[in-house]
Amino acid sequence: MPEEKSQNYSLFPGSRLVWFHDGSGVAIYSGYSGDTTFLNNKKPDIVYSEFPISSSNLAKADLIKYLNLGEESAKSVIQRLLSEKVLWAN
Amino acid sequence: MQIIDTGIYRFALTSDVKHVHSVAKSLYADSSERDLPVDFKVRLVFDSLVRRFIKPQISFYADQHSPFKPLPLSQAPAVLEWGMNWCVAAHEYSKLLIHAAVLVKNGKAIIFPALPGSGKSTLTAHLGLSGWETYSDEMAIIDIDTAMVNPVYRPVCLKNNSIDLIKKWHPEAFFTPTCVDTQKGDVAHVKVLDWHRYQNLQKVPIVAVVFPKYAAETELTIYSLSQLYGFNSLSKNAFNYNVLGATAFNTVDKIIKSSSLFEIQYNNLKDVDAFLTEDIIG
Repeated sequence: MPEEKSQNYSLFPGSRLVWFHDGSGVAIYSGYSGDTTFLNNKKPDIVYSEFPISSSNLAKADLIKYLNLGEESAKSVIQRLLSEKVLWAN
Repeated sequence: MQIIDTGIYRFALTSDVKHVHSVAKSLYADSSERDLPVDFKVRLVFDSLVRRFIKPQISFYADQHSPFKPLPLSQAPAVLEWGMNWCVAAHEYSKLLIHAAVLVKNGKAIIFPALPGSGKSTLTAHLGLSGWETYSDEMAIIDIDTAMVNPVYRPVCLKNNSIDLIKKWHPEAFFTPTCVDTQKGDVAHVKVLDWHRYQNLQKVPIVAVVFPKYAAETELTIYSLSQLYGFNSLSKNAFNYNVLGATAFNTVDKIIKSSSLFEIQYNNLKDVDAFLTEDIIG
């Protein structure tokens, strides 16, 4: 699995992630499929941090920090973003 | 041929049915004096000689395409309005179209996405005839660059009990004859703007998204919604979200970030008016 080997990611061309500032979650647009999906924040007192959309080489540790979900949950989310081709493993 | 000018879109109507022309004239005659190209050529015609005389049925065509099954002749004026909605929803890809009513006061727009039966059109007609500007009853037409909403010169489509309610509250308003037993029940259109007033309307920013729900037993109850819920609901109510792709995503994002988000349950439109005016428009 490329995501297991890689420690760095980029947004897939055309993909977008939007962090909701009320802490409700993240909206994800896949530049590959054109689908929009959502991640509900199950800890609404913790607001996601927004990483720069222009990030073309984002370290896995930073992505986990931005998602602010705890390491196991963040890995699961990263797996999903990779499978939906929102993220690209460098 | 009759020109129907809705301000942002122009239709050229031909029809075998004089009644359709007279109803269209009563709604749009004051708007149709501009010499501009038309966007859609539409026809309301009898498909066969048999159906002209025996249980007559009428078909709507946009160019050579007929999106609906033939419907009884008595429903022709309603079919024309639905057909015009279809033309815009099926062909407009330069703006984001959201299935929602739009009301404006003091240069600030509130959009009301809603399912059928939510009371959206009753709310729109009543407030549109009570000091608000009705930018649309059926679809919010939103610029993709600025997320500003455009006005469109169309009547409000009322159904069933709301026809008599609005007639009772606003006896001075103009109503088209009621089409009975359509697929949506009884349907009539009420004019909420005249062309002179429409011409003074400008694109305005959206300041709130309100999901209305009429509940006969419930006094005004207001729920604040999360941005995630609002984004999800708006994207599902957009006619051309999938066609516009990332552009639609970005436009909905702009709307969500600039808007207050509410669901309201109500049984009294005066309470709704007070809430919208005092707490949202400010």
